[in-house]
Amino acid sequence: MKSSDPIRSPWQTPGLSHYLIVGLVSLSVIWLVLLRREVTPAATLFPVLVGILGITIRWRLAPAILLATLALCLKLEYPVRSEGSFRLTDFVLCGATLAYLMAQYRLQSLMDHIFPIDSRRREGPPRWHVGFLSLRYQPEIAKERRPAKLVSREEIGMLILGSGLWAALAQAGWNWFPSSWGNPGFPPHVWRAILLTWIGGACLYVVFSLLHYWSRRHMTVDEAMLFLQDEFWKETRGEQRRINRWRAWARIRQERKDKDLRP
Amino acid sequence: MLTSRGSTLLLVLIGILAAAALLPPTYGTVWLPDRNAGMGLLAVTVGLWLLWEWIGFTIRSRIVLRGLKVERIVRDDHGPVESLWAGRSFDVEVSVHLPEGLALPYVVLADRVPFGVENIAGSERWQGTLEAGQTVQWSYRIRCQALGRVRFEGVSVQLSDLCGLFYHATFLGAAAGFRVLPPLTDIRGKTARLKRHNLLPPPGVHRHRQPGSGSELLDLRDYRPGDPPKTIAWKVSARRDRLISKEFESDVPVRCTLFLDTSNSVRVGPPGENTLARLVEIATNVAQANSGARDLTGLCLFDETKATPIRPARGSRHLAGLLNRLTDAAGLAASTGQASIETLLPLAYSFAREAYPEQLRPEVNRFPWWLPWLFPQPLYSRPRKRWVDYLEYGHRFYWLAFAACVLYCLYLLGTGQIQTAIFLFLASLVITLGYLVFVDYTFKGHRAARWRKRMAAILSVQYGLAPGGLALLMEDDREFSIYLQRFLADHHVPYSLPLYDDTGRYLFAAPEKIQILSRALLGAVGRGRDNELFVLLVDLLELPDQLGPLLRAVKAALARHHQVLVICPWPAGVEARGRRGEEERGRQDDTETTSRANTNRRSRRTTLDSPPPRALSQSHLRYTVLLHRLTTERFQRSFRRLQRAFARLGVPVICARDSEPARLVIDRMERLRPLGKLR
Repeated sequence: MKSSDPIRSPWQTPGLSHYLIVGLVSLSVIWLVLLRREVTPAATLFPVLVGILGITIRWRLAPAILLATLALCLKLEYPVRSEGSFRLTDFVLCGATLAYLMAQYRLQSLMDHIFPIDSRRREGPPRWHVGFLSLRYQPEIAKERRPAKLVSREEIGMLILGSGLWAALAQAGWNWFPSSWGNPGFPPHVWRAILLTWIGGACLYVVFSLLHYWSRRHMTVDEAMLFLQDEFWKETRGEQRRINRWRAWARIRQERKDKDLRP
Repeated sequence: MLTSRGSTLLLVLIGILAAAALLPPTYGTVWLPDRNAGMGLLAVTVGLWLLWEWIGFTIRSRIVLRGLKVERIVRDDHGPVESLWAGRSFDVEVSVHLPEGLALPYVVLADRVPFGVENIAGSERWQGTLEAGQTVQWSYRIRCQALGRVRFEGVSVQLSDLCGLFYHATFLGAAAGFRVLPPLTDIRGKTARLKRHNLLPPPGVHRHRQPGSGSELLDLRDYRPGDPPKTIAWKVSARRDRLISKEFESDVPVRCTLFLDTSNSVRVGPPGENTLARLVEIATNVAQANSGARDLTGLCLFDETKATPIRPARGSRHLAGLLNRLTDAAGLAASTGQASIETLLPLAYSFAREAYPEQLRPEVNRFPWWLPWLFPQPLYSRPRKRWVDYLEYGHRFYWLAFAACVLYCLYLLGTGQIQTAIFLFLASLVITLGYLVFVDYTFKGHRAARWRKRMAAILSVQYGLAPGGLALLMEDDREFSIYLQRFLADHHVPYSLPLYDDTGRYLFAAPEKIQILSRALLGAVGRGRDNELFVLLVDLLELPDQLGPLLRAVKAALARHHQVLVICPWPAGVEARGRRGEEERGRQDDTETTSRANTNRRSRRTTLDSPPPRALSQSHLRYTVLLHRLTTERFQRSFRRLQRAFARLGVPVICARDSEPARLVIDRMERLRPLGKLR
């Protein structure tokens, strides 16, 4: 169901305008940092252009493509000097990128949809839709938007603070992350990838296990019954299957006999 | 949980992180250890934020949402109510409380409006940020369309983060059932225009021409020792020169017992719009009118298996009890073991996904993906086999063929033909999997098996069949179909049923109810007193050849000087024997209603209830009209046979569609009051 708020100009709607400003400022910062980092000027325009397209025409893939183009730019840059342990330009770039991503995604939630689209739910008058090898006359898909009036100042502030915080944490983590500790002889970047995979996997496993344990502790009676029934079925599946199939077969045979006897 | 938006971002992040970690940190041929640090930092920054958001969202969706408490109050203008009334509107106030702890950034709460209830004002949804310790309230106004029962299932919850990267939908069960009682009516019978008696008994008391302690003179007779002196007719005694006593009539109440058919034959159709609803409406009108006149009303609900009688009584409490029983009966749904699982299963599964999402989780309701491929349901335990079933049953042979290929590959490996063995193995694997996936995708076999297992587990727990019920419902189509219908009916989800079996027999004729009704009628006659009226609200249109036991029971009732009236429901969408003729018949006396079918044959022409849609082709339309005409004629013929059979006993048969059966019953009660029948 669509929000009851009429969507006028985004600049006139308080919640939307805040995120628009944050997104545009972030793009400006990204562009400035890229210019300072010896990236070809033409290449710096790509991420910014993608970002602007995302804001203006509500391009859904804009955040992901901006991230990819930005990574490409960083790979193509010419390294002239080595920074210390705290890389300021990286910190600013990461913070601005994160701020843009958050602002852009929240804008999409406000202007496009926040919940996944369910193509079965449609509303409004029907009209022609041209799809891939299809032409259909049906109403528009209903989209659930977050009302702009729900946007608060606190969440804008938390967005700006959070982007800086996560950039700083990433910097600290990257510096802390070992590239040679316990290395049996792999190239450092490969060893770092292996360690990253193992540590990330272990963390996720612990988190999943804790959540799984918690959810089992808080099962309802019906869920616990289902779980026990499933375990019982798993153990005696073959025997139960055989007995019940015979039973169904006997019943069907009896019904056939009764039907034959019926006038 | 991860939306497509979140998945795309995660994929890009993993790609960047993999590139930063695995690509050699060189610029040309120069080795620079920090060459990929920028990419890595970018990915780690966004990744950390995404991980944090995921952890927060998971805790909220798994832990915080379970703490939500739902309260619902249904009220009218005077306050909270426990029963609803058809045709009236009520306010539903829903409140949801979030205990202390974490807040929910964006949540949509929607109270599930029951089937058969119309939302006429307000929204059943609430959306916004739910802070810890906050209680949100919203209300909407509903109107109940038909009598029966309505069931509020609970509140559906949709949770998302502010960016729309994660999504979780669940359901807070807060089931509450309400009876929708019939509207209060004020039906009165035709009162006599001529004053026939000087005595006007108090309400609920009627004259009966049998010696008793009433005040109306019945007869004079010789004095018997022991007669009270006040009964001596002194003038007559003086004239005859011997003592003569006066005999008075007895004052008795009139009892009306309603026999209501609740068998499957009247349950067919959408709840509230089927013939059972019409019969219940008539019964409630009669009960209310009788209660207004202080007459005693009894009820006997019967179906194919049993009869449940309620003795005649009067009073508001008894009336409320009757209305409750009738309302419960109106909500009954038809059921047959021959209903197709293919029709019912998607309906039940989609409802379960909405109302019981927690019970469909793989943690508690697991489905082994290989099960339908290795152990498909055998053909011998399927009541109706289709050619698709043969195709699906071949799964195990495909696997056997594959196993044979693997063994042959091993043999080739052993003999040193490695390339041939690998090629053969890969080819057979691709062909087997491709064929299985093709068959399953084309005929939806795997999905149907998955749905069936999960629904069987839920049904088994809900209806107390565990632990063996799961396997029973997975293997027995008939049992599974019946429990699916029960599940849908309990949750008031409309579903369609086949009306005829493979041999063309009508599935809902329910001939067993004749015996049950006859036994119940004889029981009521045995318990009956004076001046009883038995109203049989029963569908006999499909059973005109099997009326023997019922006719014998009616004869017994008439022999005891009771009166019997048969009201037969008429199927919706089928033209009755002329609306005008039936209305006139409804206004005529019993002699007219019991007379032979003087039907207006000119009105036999059939008309469709709704104009044919334009999309129907001409031939299709012709067949539809023909089928409709044949059905109408069959019903009319059956109704005439019914009338003829009962007319031989002097019992009127009334069609419950066009005339006004409730008024007819009340008229008959009125006629029963002043005179009754001479015994």
